[in-house]
Amino acid sequence: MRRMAIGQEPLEGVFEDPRMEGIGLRRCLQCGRCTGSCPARSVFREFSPRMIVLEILEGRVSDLLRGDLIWLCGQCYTCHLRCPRGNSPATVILVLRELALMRGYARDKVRGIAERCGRSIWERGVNFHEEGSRELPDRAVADLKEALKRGGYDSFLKRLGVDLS
Amino acid sequence: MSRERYYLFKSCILGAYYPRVEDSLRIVFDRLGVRYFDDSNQSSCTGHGYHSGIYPLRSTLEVNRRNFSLARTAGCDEIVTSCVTSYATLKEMKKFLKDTVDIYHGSEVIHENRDRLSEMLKYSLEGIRLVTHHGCHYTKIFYEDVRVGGPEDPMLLDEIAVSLGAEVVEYEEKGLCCGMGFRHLLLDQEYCRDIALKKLTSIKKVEPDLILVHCPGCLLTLDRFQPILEEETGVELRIPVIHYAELTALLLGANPDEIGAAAHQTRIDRVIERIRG
Ligand code: SF4
Ligand code: SF4
Repeated sequence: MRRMAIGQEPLEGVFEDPRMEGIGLRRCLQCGRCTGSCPARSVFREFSPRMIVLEILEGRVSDLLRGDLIWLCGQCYTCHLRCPRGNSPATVILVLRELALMRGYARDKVRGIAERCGRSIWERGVNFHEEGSRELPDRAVADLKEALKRGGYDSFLKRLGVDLS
Repeated sequence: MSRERYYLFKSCILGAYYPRVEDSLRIVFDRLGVRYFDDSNQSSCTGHGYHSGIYPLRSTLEVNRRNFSLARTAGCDEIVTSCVTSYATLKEMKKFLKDTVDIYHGSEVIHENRDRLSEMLKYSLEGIRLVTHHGCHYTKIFYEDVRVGGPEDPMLLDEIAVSLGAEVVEYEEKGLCCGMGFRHLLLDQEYCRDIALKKLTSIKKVEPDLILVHCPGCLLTLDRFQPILEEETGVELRIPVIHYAELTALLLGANPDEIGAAAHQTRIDRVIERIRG
């Protein structure tokens, strides 16, 4: 068996994310309860939250960031609820997705969604919009854009190839 | 829960696809005398995109720092959301922002007022058998905050339904996700189809008159995927799906147009007729 990288910091930035505070990633005992409860697993046989956790602990974060697996999770948080060790594969996967995009991987995984929902929040203040549905008044949209800029969202969208001009 | 004035946090899915659901919530709150501030400046919490991977944490924080500040400007220390993903996203962002605002879900407010509500009903659910589905982002993220029952056996909607006169029926896959899956809904929808079919098949076995939900995403998925799944698999489903705000408004006397019955893909008109006698 390969030696686990437990205790090695910082596992390629995973633990630097504030969402990892209090998450028992290193305490995972590979019991498989997460995978056994996972709806995405029942649809995609190659997907397993337990394996994703193992990959991280064994130091293969960059493979995960480059690959497709982290994009299969449906974010239902059943694994988060059921893990007996206070780990949260759902949260860890969200952290990995962000790391992947920040490093320039997987942009094709989100470009279409960003083109639709990201643009919609930028232009109207809502993720979803249909003809005649609720949107923010102009002044609120301008104010929201300032908040989005403070959160680096304009440059994030531009990096994904969404043209905001 | 103190009862000053809530900041009503509106949902982007409801706004776009079922706009009358929030009108229904307003009808119910007004009748109950629950005070709320309805702010046109409030933006999406961006939770749907956050869980799809298109909003970094930093951006989600700034968007909701602004929303919290709008609530404060309106003099509200409590936010009531109509969506369970807004509920969880705001709770998560509140933690990182160290904000003291309290976050509740609309169904919790109705639950709290259920006895009074049951005395005000024009129609009752007597003779109606229904199943409930609680949204995952209500029961499974901040699972310690699940108020009624527990995260593995949530009873919030069940208790509301009973106080409205319904018979609540158990089914095997009560804890299973509806199948929305965030990014999956916006992409090839394989996850949505498979999980929704599993959920709906389990529900179909107990032959309920209605599926009662409290999340915009669950309403959208369980409602709109039924015709698609029927066509693809040949399985007959046809189980009407209704949101707790629509149902309570209806029982208080709102008509089918006021609750937006026409926005549903599953036929809720027949069961509405039965309820209205
Ligand atoms: S349930 Fe928790 S402890 Fe068990 S394998 Fe999954 S992450 Fe590890
Ligand atoms: S959150 Fe993702 S990994 Fe966890 S159980 Fe749900 S689909 Fe599986």
